[in-house]
Amino acid sequence: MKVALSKPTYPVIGETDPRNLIFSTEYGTLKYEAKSSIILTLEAGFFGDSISFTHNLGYVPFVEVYMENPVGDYEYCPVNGSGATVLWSSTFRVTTTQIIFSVESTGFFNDTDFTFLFFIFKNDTDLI
Amino acid sequence: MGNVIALSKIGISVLGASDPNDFIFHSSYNTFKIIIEGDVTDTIPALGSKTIQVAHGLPFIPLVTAFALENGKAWAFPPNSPNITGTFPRIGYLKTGIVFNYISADEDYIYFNFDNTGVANKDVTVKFYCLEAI
Repeated sequence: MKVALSKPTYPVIGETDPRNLIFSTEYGTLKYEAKSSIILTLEAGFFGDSISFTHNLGYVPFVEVYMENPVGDYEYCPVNGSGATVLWSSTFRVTTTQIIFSVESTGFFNDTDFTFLFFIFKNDTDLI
Repeated sequence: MGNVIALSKIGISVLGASDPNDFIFHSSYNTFKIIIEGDVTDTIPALGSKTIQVAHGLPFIPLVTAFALENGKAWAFPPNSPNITGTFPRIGYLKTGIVFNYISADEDYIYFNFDNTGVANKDVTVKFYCLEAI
């Protein structure tokens, strides 16, 4: 037995195309564990730094990460950006216990904050 | 307005809620369905690049997201990123040499492109998810 909800105008009985379904037990979904943020302060003159968040799930989860860049916009991470006199990039990696966020730059004149906004899902990538 | 099926988050009245973020599920909003998930392992040649190609078998071009694992490493990393082992104040990224350049897809295949700047061949495993039609 399955449960399905079709989009408006599509009859749910007999509908097999996932494009026409809002939900179906035939397909998995991303199940949300947590939403959080963390700030990495890159010290003036530093070329890189990292900061970690402990999730302790015991497996490598599916994650989505956004980064607030130095001009205040959120971008999908990994990010490559630039200003008048500086380049920066950010990325992340995911272990069975942590998400490690990293920033690399050509060096800011002042301490600079990078805020990572991230969503951790229950879904196990099964990579490890 | 027709009938809806909705589940609100704990502490929020399902009848009074109107913000989509207050719902666990609401039949007025589409969900990302994991239409296909799978993994593929291949070897990226030393000082070279490779595009790993996977047939998806879907009647549409899928939205694909993925993570990569370099053989022997204890972490996954995302597309559009080098694989880094650490980050240091006076150096920046310390890289393994593997770069996950991009994901693309067409009517038949998903493509995962990698570079290897190292002097040894390296195996990578890609875990991918097809979530929706583009």
